[in-house]
Amino acid sequence: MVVCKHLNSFIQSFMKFRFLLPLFFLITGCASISHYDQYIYTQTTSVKVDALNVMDLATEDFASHQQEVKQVITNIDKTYEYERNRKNNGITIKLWDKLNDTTGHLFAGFVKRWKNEGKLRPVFIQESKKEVGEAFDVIAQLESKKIKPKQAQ
Amino acid sequence: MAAIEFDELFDTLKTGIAGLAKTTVNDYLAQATEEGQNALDGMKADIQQWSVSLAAGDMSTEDLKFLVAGRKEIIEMRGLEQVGIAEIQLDSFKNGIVNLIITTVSKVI
Repeated sequence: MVVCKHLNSFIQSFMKFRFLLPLFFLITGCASISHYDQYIYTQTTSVKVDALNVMDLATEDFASHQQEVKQVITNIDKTYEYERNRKNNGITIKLWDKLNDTTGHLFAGFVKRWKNEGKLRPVFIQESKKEVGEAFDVIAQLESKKIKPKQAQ
Repeated sequence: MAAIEFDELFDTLKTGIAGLAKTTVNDYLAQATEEGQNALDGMKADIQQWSVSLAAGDMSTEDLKFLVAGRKEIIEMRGLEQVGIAEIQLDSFKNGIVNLIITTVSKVI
């Protein structure tokens, strides 16, 4: 009898506010951008350090540091692959594409130039490192601003 | 449900959503403006530094061209970042509306 009373009361309350249900589902139904991922934040900051360290070696012949460069590129590729498989992650993918573009002037472009020219000038390396560092920061900063899973609905 | 209850509920939601929208947009605008200013200041300082290095022979014209092109790509990345932040703000706004509906309706029930 008591259960029936509560159930009845619940049904009455539900009926009162049923008009809000479509709005509720419309709002909660679709996230615009992926949520924060601790793994990807850690990975991005980690490969940033590796990339900047390997750039320091560009005062020496590329041929003698091919293995170190290859290792960094592999780590970036692994991170990229993870990012590529996240839902609603188009903007972050575009940011990685900029960094990885061999025809561009960030990390992949720097490596290509180093390979082509053998070695690079120290002042240029330091200035290019600032830009590559900032490019990684953009990716990490966007990730850190994303909604944390516990804040999401 | 009496008409007055609907009106009260909608008024509460309307006020809440307006406040939420104002806070979201203001926060975003302040942040975007500050980041735009910082990017501009940083670029000015970099170009001055590169010109000095070029004149001193520490950098070639090719180096300078590469760095300027890199700076342009960073600006494009910052633009994409702002689009991403706007989407995050939109999601926060949507979450805020859901919480507002739940809180407001819970009070009435």
